[in-house]
Amino acid sequence: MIGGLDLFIVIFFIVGVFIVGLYFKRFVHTSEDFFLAGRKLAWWVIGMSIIGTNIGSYDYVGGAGAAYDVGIAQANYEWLGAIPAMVLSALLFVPYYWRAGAYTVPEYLGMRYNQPVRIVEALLWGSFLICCIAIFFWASGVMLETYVGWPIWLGILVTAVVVGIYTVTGGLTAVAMTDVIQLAVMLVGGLAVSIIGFHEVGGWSGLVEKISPEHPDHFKLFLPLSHESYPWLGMIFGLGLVLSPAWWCCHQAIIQRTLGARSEWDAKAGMLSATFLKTLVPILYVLPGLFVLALCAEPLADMDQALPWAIKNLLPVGLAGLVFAAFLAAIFSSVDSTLNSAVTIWTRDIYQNLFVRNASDQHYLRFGRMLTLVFVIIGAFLAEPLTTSFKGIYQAMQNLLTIFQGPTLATVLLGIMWARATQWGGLFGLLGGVACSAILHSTGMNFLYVAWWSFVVALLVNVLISLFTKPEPVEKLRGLVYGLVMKDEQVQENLASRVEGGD
Amino acid sequence: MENQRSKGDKGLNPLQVIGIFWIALGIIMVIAVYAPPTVVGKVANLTAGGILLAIGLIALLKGTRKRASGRAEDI
Repeated sequence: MIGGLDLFIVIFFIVGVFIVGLYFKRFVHTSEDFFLAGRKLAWWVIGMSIIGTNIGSYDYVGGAGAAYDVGIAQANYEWLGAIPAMVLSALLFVPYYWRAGAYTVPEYLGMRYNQPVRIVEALLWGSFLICCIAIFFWASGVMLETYVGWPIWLGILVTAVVVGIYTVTGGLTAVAMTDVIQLAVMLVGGLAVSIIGFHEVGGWSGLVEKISPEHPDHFKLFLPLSHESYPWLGMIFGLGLVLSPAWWCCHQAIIQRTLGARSEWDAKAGMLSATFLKTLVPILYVLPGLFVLALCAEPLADMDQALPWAIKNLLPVGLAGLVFAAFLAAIFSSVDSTLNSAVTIWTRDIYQNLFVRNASDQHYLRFGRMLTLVFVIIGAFLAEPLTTSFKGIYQAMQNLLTIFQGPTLATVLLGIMWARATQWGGLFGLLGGVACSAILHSTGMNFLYVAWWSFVVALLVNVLISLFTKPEPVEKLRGLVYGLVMKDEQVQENLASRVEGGD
Repeated sequence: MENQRSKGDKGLNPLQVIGIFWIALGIIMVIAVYAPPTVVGKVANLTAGGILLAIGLIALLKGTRKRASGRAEDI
C-alpha cells in the first residue's frame, strides 16, 4: 500500500485532472462542441487522446502479467494487433467518416446502408460502452483498494465524481485534453520504470541472459499453434485481420476524436501519430513484466501480481506514486472517453434519430449532459454485479467485444470498399455475424477464432444478399464509398480543367 | 462568430493549462529526489521530474504565444 509522498502525488494528480477537466467547460457552447469538441482538435491532441483512451488498467495489470507469463508475444497486441490496422484506419476509414460529417460510426452506416443498420449498430455499441464504463469503475475501485486502502465503493465514487463532472461539463474537449496530460504521465512513468528495471537486470543483454535459460519462448513474437491463449494462427487471423482492424477502424471511442478534427488532414495525421505512440506502449507493461520474471526469486502464484510486485520492490518513493498516478490516468482516460462516446451514440443515433428529431441545439446539449450523469450512476451501480459475473476484468472485455467486432468490421469494410453492397446485405450480414459469434462463443471456442469466423460469416451473408437485391443509387453512395470519385465524370472533368488551367 | 468568441475570451489557452499541470507535477517529482535512499532511485525521480518540467514549459510557452496572438481557444 502506498503512503506519504506517493499518496500526495496520487491525490495531487486526481485533483489536478479534475481542475483541468473543469476548465474546459468554457469551450462548450453547442452540442457540436460537446460531442465533437467543436471540430477544433489538432492532430497531436487526437493522437495522444487515442492512445490515452486505448490504454486501460487491464493493459497495465493484465498486460504485465501476460508478459510475465508468455514474454514479448504479449507485445503483439500492440504491434501486430494495432499498427497495420491504425494505418489502414488513418488512410481508408477515417477520411470517409470525416467527409460524411457523421458524429458516430453507426451514423455513417445509416447513411451508407439504412436506418435499421444504424440502430442495430448503435444499440450494440451503446450497450457495450455502458458495460465498459461499469467495468472501468470496478477496475478503478479495486486498484484504489489495493494500493491506497480505500474501500471499493469509495474508489468508484471518487472516479465517478472526478471523471463524471468534467465529462458532463467539458464534453469531448475536456476528455481529449485530460487524455493528453494523462498519456504524458503514463509515458514518463513507464520510461522511469524502464531505467530502474534495466539498471537492476544489467541492461537488455542481462535481461535476456536471466530469462532465456528457463523460458526460451519468452523472446519469441509468435508462439506455437498449440499454445492455449496465443496460437500464432489465431493471432494473425483473429487479432491481426479482424479484432485489431475492428477496434481501430470501427470503435466509437477511438474514431470520435478523429471526427472532432479541425480538418481531414488533422484527422488522418492524428491517427498516424497515434500509430507512432503505439509502438512505445509495450514499454509501459511488457518490460515491467519481464523485469519481474528476471528479478523475482520465487515464481508468482498469480501472474497479475507482476506489476504490484514491481511497484513494491523496484520503484523508489516518488516514482511509485507517479506510476500509480499513471494507472489512474489509464482508467480515467478510458472512463471519460467511453462515457462521452456512449452519450454521443445514445443521443445522436437513438434519441435524436428515433424520438426527438427537430429540437433546438441547446436541447441536445442539455440532453447529452444529463445522459452523461445518468450513465455515470448506472456504471457505478453495475460495476460489481457485471464484473463479478465474469472471471476477470480482461475476460469480461474480451467476451463482450468478440460478440460484434467481426460483424461490425465486415459491414463497415464492405460499406466503404464495395459500392454493390446493399442496405439489406448490410443488415442481414450484421445480424448473421452477431448470431454466428454468439453460437461459437457458447461452444467455448477461443475468442480469436470466434472473431475470425463471425467476420467471415458477416462478409459472406452481406455479399450474397447484396448480389440478390437491388443496387443502391449512386447519388446515395457518393462520398461514402471508395473509388466513386474516380468514376465521377463531372468531378474528373473539373480536376482535368484545373490541371490544364494550372491551378 | 468563432473569431468574436476567441477575441473576447480572456481565459488561458489549453496548452497553458496542461503546461501548468505538467510543471507542477514535475516540480513535485524533482523535490521527491530527496526521498529514495539509492542513487538510481534519485536519478529515476529526477529523470521523470525533468521530462515533465520540460514538456510543461514547452506547452506553456506555446500556449502563451498563441494567446498573445489572439487565439485563446486554439488547440
